[in-house]
Amino acid sequence: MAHMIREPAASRAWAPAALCAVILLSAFALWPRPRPVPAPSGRPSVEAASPAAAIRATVSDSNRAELELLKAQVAGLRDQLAESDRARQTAPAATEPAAAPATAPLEGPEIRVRYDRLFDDEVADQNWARAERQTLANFFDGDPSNGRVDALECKRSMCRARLAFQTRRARDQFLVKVGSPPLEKSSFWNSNPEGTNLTLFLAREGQELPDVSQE
Amino acid sequence: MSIKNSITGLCVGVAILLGAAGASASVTSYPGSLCVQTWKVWNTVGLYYFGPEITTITNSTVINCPISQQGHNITAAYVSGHIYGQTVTCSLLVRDKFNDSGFTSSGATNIGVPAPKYTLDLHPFAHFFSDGTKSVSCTLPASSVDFTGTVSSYTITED
Repeated sequence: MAHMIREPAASRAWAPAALCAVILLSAFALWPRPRPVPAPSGRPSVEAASPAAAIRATVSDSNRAELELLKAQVAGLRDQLAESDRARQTAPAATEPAAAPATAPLEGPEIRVRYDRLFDDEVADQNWARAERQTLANFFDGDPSNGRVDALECKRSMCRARLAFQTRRARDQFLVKVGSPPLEKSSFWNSNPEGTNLTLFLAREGQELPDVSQE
Repeated sequence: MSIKNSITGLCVGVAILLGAAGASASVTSYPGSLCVQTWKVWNTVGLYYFGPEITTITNSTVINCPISQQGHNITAAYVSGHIYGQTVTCSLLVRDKFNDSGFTSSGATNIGVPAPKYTLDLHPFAHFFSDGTKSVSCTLPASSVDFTGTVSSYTITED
């Protein structure tokens, strides 16, 4: 099949030369030529005496009008640019903090809200959810130091437990167990400052909790 | 090759080297002697001691190994030691500065690893608190037989 796209040697040699010629001719035709400068005193120039010169003078007048319009537009744009520069310089405090929260690490309550949203939107895998919930319920009910279970639910990729404790110290004693079976899964917890209410999210075994820092 | 190309190539090389140096991770190795037992049982456990310690525990026990806070995200973590006749499960913990929120990585265990030496590759997570606390937590289940073990070291890589 290679012979089908092969070109004769002579045409290959002429092709670049022909291309150059076309480019040169086009450039010559389109190159702007110097125009006669109109007489400063309004006196017609020598060329304006002929009809061709009259037409050229008319075109020149319309170009001048366009030029004036463009000049005005450029001046307007310059003013706008200067105005926005002034605004940026005079109010730096108003613009910088707005950008900061996008990069700042999230605080615990905000992370909990995002996991709550993810969990609430999740569709349950009934078989896994039922079995996992039972395992966790047995664990929580098996020891009073695990606090009071206010809510316990599993969906598809994680479980959520809402626990209540008498004191912050009781909460801390429970938290020592997070990371040990059956709570050895990837997890996140958040409690109120008093430590009496705690929300715990546990990922499905073999999975990590999703990253909620980018939303 | 022209001089201009040479200079351009040189500049690109220097920029790559500078970028690589700026993005280099910090690796810190901690001795296992820093680990402490956080869950009290009536008997002691020798997991965090060097040398042979024979003990029997009647309840599961948690060992906490602190990580100095460098304000960055943990990208890799390993725990090494040896243990005879027992399983150990370790995970990473991070907590915020108020101790009101925390993440725990999924546990890595020595099950299936030929005894006695173990090295556990802990699963890092994308989350961190830049001014909270970080630690490695290892759990030993209750055992009715004597066993011995250590955490000899743990190595943390932060970005």
